[in-house]
Amino acid sequence: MIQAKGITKKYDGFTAIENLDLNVANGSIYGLIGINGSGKTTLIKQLTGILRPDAGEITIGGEPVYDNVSVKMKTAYVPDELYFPSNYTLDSMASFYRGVYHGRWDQQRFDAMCDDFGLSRTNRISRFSKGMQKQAAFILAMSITPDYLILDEPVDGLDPIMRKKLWSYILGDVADRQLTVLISSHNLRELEGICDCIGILKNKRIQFEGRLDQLQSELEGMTLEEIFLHEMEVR
Amino acid sequence: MNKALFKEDIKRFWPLSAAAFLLYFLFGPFDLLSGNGSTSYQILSMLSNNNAGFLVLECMFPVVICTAVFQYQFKGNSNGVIHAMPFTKKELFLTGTASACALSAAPQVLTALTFALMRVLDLAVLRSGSEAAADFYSRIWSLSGIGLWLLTAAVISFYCLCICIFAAMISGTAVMSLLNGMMLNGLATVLFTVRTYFYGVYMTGWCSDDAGYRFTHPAVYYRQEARSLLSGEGNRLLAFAGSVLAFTAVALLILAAAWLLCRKRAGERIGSSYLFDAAAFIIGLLGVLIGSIFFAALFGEATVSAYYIGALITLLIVQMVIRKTPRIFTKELLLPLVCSVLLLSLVLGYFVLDPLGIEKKVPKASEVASVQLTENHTGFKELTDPDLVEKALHLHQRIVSEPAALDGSWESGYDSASTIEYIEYKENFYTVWTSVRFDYTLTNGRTMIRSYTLPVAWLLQDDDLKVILESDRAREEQMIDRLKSYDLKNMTIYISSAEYATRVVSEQDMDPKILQESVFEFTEEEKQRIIETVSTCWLKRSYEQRLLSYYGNAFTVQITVFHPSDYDFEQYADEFTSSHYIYKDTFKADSNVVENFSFGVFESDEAAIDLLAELLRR
Repeated sequence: MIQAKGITKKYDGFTAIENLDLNVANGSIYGLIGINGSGKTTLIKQLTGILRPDAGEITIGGEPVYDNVSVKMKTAYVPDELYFPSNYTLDSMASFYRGVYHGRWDQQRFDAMCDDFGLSRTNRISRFSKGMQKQAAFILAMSITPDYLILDEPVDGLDPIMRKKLWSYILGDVADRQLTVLISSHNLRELEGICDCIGILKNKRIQFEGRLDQLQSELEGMTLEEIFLHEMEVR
Repeated sequence: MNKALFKEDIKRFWPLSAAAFLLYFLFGPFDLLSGNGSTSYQILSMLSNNNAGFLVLECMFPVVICTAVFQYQFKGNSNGVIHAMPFTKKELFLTGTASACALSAAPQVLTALTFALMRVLDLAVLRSGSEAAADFYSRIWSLSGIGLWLLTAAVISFYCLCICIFAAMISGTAVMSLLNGMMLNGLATVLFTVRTYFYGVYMTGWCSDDAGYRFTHPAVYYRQEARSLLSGEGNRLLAFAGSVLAFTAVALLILAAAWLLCRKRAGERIGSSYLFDAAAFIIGLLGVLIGSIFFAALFGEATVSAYYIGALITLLIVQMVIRKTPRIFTKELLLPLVCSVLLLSLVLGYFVLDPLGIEKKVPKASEVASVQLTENHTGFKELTDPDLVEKALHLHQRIVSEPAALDGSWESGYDSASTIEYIEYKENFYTVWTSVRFDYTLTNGRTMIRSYTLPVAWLLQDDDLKVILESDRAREEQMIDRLKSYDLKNMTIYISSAEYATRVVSEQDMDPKILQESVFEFTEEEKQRIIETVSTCWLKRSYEQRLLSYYGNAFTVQITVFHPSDYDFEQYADEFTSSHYIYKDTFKADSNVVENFSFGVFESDEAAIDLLAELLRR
């Protein structure tokens, strides 16, 4: 379970997140939505242990995240802004990940996914298109067989075929291994098709959190996009 | 430390180390192998860190490697990825430090191995063999000598590396990290050696090159120790070990401070927090200060306005780097501008007004055991006679108390026939200046050094220097007297034509072609005549002629005295090197020359002109 309790984050006097609570159940897919600048990336960076909250507590599987190697070992993160060392190929990245995620790295899966996505393993990743780089990051993240997967705008720049592949891998792992997924995206239609739960971030905190099907039945079959617009106006 | 990350760092950045090794190789082994053989000076220079290329690499390569290894800190996206991976902050810091150390040490180790290989295979053959070559091989060009170089180079690099890691922790971009690394390197060294530095300045004054030399880098201190050690002075071993330990301890302290900053450092938005803004501001000010000094130095005559212009130019560049935009002409520029002007005014004011009296310090007669007075054109005189010491102190006092008079003395001129003759002949302003240096040995055992650049015309008016130069003690040290102690067989005399030569040659009815030659074979009788004649001419010289002896001479008589074949070289080397800044082994290995004398023959030295004309005409 991914859990945040009363977290607050400030940057040089500006409060990005205040007293925020969040709960992602094991084996679920959680959609984090919010308008631009609402603090989604800041929240995700705290959930992945990149940033330390000024107040509150974040745990994954019951353990605190920040500076915790054992938790990070089980968590994969695909950021919105990708980074690969210059001159690195997919193979060299795999070699690096194999060393770092020792014991969790699944080489067969990596090989299979590379073939499936049709990415060159010997060309420099820096020469890939933005969409291809997203695919590369996703392949690497899935190849460490994480228990928790956190994705920030994962399908941004991907064509429909690749998006479909990506979702199918995620759904497969959720079904097979009880993978817990948190996705931040503006593509609400796709989130609607894949998420179990959603959390709407507004005014520096999660204003609404709950099961999507439950919400839709409460709001008389509204789409996620309609729900989001409704929540933004109402709350 | 994380092994996988360490391995990855090495894999990524080994080309930088390879490039550094290539440079080490070019400055070191290749240099030794490429000539017609090596000189012991070359080898000693390399192994005692006196090689400029080595020094730059030892100090600057850590800046580069550190910026490379810690570059993930400077990019928001890479920082995010790295910190999301299963590393603790401590692991990242320690692994980065270990990688930087390894990458920085690798080229030095490879260079040391190359040296060792060359030594074992005897590839660096000394060009000039001597009796001392075996000694040189066993003491300097030995495996232990090479190991000592490696240790020294590694400690210097580690010290610089720790400073650069600190710089990386306060930097928001790779460029700032490079700049901060270089600037903090200088600053930390000054702070660390502040006592030594102040002592150095106090004893040498700002005018001495030595002060600036000490200011530059810790390498200087290592070098001195390493040199002593290489020269075989075993009692220096303890001092060297102390120096290594002290620098390592300070380096570790700086590293600890860097780690504390690293813990405080936010995972992202680097360069936006107050801490980093403040660091960038302070480093920016230091950059302005260094830039202004550099700019002023470019113009040689470092006027105050040159410092301010340099500061302004650097300020604009630094602000563009810090703010990452050329659009810096906003109200935010005002604060750094005001602070830069204030800081520069403070520093310049300190130097100009000399509130601590460092530059104006003249020791009391009771404090001085002896003084070595060196005037550029007349050589040095070791004075112990109280009267002469008093004269030297009086001259020194006049120099420091009459700066205005010194500045104006050239314009006011000096009504002397030779000066006028000289001025008529030479219009080049600079050559009428000379340097005067006072090397005091104080009664408390310390030394105090001051040197000044003065107009010759001003010195010509000075009675103190006149008394000193005409004293018995000074005469004793004149070259002519010393020449008498050497055997003519061991002398070679060169005659080289100088400024007036063409005129003199035509007046003396000589063949102008002789001016193209410079070496003449003289018989012992001719040598004797030359020496006697120039001796006579020298003794007849007036004070002003001696001071002006460099200017307007027609010929230069260069007399070189070599060691006799049965000379006790060891004893001589001991004696010579103990009073000169030359290393005995180098001296013994390379030098067969006892002394060089140079005597300018003027048109007015009729006897010498006649003799040379006669000898050269034959």
